[in-house]
Amino acid sequence: MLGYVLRRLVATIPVIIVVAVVVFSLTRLTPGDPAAVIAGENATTEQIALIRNRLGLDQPLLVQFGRWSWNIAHGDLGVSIFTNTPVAGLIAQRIGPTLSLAIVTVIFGLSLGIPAGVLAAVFARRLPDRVVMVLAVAGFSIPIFVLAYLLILGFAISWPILPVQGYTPMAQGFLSWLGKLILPSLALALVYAALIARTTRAALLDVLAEDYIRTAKAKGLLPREIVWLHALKAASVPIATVVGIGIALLVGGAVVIETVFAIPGLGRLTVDAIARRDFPVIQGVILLFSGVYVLINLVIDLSYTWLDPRVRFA
Amino acid sequence: MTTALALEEDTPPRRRAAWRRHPTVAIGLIILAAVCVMAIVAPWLATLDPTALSPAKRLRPPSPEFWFGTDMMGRDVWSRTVYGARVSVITGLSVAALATTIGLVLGLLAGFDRTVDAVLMRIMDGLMAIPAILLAIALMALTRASLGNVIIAIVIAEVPRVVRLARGIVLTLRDATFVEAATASGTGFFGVLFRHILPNAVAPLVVQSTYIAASAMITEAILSFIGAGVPSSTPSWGNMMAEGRTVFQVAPQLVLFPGLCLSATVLAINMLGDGLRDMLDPRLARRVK
Amino acid sequence: MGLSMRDRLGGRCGRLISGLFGLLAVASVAATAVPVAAQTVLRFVPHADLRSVDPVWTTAYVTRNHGHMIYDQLFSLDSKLRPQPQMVESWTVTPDKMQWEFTLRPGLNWHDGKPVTAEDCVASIKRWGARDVLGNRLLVAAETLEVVDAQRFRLTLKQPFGQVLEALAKPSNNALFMMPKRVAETDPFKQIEETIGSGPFKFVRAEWLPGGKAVYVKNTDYKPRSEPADFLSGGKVVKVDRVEWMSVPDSAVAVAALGAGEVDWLEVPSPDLVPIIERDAAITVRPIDMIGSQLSIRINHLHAPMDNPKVRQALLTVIGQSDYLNAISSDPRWVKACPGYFGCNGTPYESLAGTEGHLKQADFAKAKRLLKEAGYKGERVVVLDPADVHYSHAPALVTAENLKKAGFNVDLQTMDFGTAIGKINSQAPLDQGGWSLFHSYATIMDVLTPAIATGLRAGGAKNAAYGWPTDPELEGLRTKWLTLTDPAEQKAYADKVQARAFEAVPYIVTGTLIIPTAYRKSVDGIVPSGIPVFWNLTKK
Repeated sequence: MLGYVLRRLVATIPVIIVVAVVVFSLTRLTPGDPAAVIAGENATTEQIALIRNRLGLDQPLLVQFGRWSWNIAHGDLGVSIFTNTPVAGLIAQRIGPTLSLAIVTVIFGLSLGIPAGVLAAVFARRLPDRVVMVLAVAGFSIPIFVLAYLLILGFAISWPILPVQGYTPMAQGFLSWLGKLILPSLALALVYAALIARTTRAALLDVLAEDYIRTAKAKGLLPREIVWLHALKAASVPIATVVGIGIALLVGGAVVIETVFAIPGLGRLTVDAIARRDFPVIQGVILLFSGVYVLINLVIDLSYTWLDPRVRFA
Repeated sequence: MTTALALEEDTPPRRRAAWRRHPTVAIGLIILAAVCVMAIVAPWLATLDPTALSPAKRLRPPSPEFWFGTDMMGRDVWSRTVYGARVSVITGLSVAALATTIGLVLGLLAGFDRTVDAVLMRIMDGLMAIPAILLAIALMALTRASLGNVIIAIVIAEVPRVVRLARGIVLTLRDATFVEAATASGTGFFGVLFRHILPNAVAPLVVQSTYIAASAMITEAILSFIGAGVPSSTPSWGNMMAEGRTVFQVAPQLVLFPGLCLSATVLAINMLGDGLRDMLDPRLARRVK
Repeated sequence: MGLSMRDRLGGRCGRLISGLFGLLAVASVAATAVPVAAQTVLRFVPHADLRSVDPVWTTAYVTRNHGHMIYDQLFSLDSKLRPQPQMVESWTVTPDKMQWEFTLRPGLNWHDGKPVTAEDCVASIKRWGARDVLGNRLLVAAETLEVVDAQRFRLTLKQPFGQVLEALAKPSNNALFMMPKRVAETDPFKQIEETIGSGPFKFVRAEWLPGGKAVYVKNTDYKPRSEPADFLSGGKVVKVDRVEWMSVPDSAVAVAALGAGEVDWLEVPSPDLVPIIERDAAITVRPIDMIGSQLSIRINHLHAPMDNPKVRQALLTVIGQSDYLNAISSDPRWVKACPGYFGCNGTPYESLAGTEGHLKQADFAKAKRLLKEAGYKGERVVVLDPADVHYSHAPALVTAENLKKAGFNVDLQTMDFGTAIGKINSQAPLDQGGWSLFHSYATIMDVLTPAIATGLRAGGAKNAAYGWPTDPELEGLRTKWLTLTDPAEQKAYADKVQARAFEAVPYIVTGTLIIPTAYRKSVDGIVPSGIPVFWNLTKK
């Protein structure tokens, strides 16, 4: 088992290298120039060249890439061009809000999606199933920022029970932390819940048709127990996959949601950095996102051996 | 960002005539057909030039002259909505077609050649690890904003998932008994490819491509929201909503109408995809009985 | 195992859901509670996020505003835009205006408690002069700038310079702020490390979230002047304990947050949202100042067809200011026609010189005639369109539309602002990613005089700001203007500069934007100033 985990860990290295190369070339091929953004509209060409020189941006690309990867390998993500602060520090400041958003969203997504999916599977092809599935498809079909505005309009303006925007760290009170996260998380969770509901339903239907469920039925277990006990356990493999895939979905959504709700998280940090061509920040954050994605998928892959009921029931 | 992805891997599909049992397919097709017609006959449906500015008439509410009102530049929202169908349809169709084709070719290569597989899949894994939206934003920053570039950016972000799916299909089929039998009986490589592999790959790929089309339309809107989408001289539902969102409390029609159109279209495609999957997936079909 | 699984997925999920919704109502109450009740905290939404804290290194307006929080100025402008002493107590000048001596007022201290000295001031002026246009001219005209003693420094000129006090009072890009000598000795092309000033607020660096939040606390040791606050001049008496700048990138959400009382002051609400804000009796909306900002079309003079003065004249004839103003806002309170290059509404060099027959209305027939005379052969005109900035995006669409009507071959290129600003600094030809027209806006404080209006610099590719106009006559007038010290002569030459500008068309003014600001009625005493300042105001 340990050998397998190690092999899988080693296998992630080329992935990270590909990400690093892609990200670096993307940022450096981009036409914008951070020095020009800094110097402002009225700078002379000479002034811009001086700023570029001080930032080390006038050196050959390969040299820049070499230096950057050398530093990354030593755990140094570099210094933000604009804020003149370490990228690692910026990420540390921003990770709290994004993590909070992700956690609350996953909780919302699971607690809406799994019951809905189970409901749909148990009542397959009947009214509850159809209602759930239509809602789920609708969940995919609304652009996330439209949904966010509707939620603000509904629960913060017309019926003001929740704050409009902002983020409060948990240290300043659990309730104010949660209060500010409810609307943004709901906006994000709807797509996520739709995805989970569909997966749960499909997986559950698959499992309910399997032989060992019939055996369980023959053993005299009640249908409800069958659903919860065996079927859902079996269905947890595809569900786990979807949770993993959903992380990528969350990142995309976070970019939008953090902008709408003024949450100072990693998504906004990235978009801001792209708009201003703050290379070290773009590189650092995307590398981080990719690392997390790879790691989560690794964990999920490893968890299959534990989760797969067909192994267990065999 | 593909939403319902990867659920229909390893399905050896058999076609079944089941249209009548799948009303969602019919509804989806009808809505889609309507949108396509709207896109094609846009010049006749539109009452005004969708790009003509009349700054003096900005942010008008809906009226007989401006059916859906006007936007922040005094452009006619009805005409822009009608023309906007073109961008969404083009985006959805071309992304789906391109991503599926490229993904299929690469997936086949990876499925049949171990060396290609090793290199290609590492690259695909790397691309997939970068959040699709961030990849698309970065690609858009790289190029000039235009519909073509938006399509390319979304395709690049979608391709890795198709490659995985196609490769998975090839790997499963390659070792399947009927393919082994064919190879043993002397059928050549291309024979196996065209007679056995491709026909069986079509169904899951078609289903997948509907989801890609749906997600591409949503991604186009998100790119516009972030300011990296189709330029507003070409009206798209995405850039209309993105421009109008800042005034949604004053002029909700700017977000509402394109939003409704986009949601309805994406909904229709997703319904079509779900229906197709049910039709083409024998396991699901079996369950339905 | 089976039972625990059931418990885990069924029971706990259920409890979690009901728990979460139970918390919902409580959370909303708790969320609005102020953590530190004893302090007055003013929450402010700036027009952009504070990303850099060095007002010499970058020209971002938000960084300039940050500068006015934590730094102090030698002189500062009053509401008539005249320099008034701020850190300076008194000064002497020789009758030929060639030697100036300034004495600092006593009791000025840096935030770390050390006294402000003349040495610090001289170092600050030198670093600023390396980057600022006017500061650069001042240092070029100076023979020496030297320390006399701890309180006094002396400026000796080698050539006449008519803008000494105006330079020392420069309020905007780049504003002249006093920094400690060790900070001011930083390479002007590198960012400063410390955020220590002598101004009325202290920056709380530990709470700075670049692009999210910036926090300032009252500098309790600050000794304000005794005069009342007037624009940037007078006593900076701070009456709140803490100011928090919170960035809310979405303008509609920012307005909603103001309505909900989550923030107290919104620096720049979108003019289109003003009707919504005004419905709320708890909120005041008013112009942030009456001077406003200048909207303009910057022209790249290096490439055809815009290198041809006749073609630029044709461009000028298709510009009607009302087209641009209408495209920006339908509310006449926020947009005003203003043909002059140096601002309207009582600015020192407001003038109608040379404006006759221009900027009123687009004249397509005349434009076509001029194009024919110019021998225009349908060369491409690249209009940059930064879609994410309304004040650049809307005018770009108007220009593209009008130019097409006049027979120009228009290439409207949509992009984000970051790309656009990278492009405008490139002198590359059009087929290598170059540009022809860009729509800009700047506070009128930055175009007040022929010396600081950077768009009028006409020294060509080497010696002008982006656009790089070449016009020896205009450049000669501007250089001459800087040496004038007599007010009547200054006015006369400013008129000449403007008249020449309408002939050479270095850039085109499309109107004045009066920026609205909105704050809750619980805030009182905001000093009218184009730069948001936080002294004098109180919060109930």
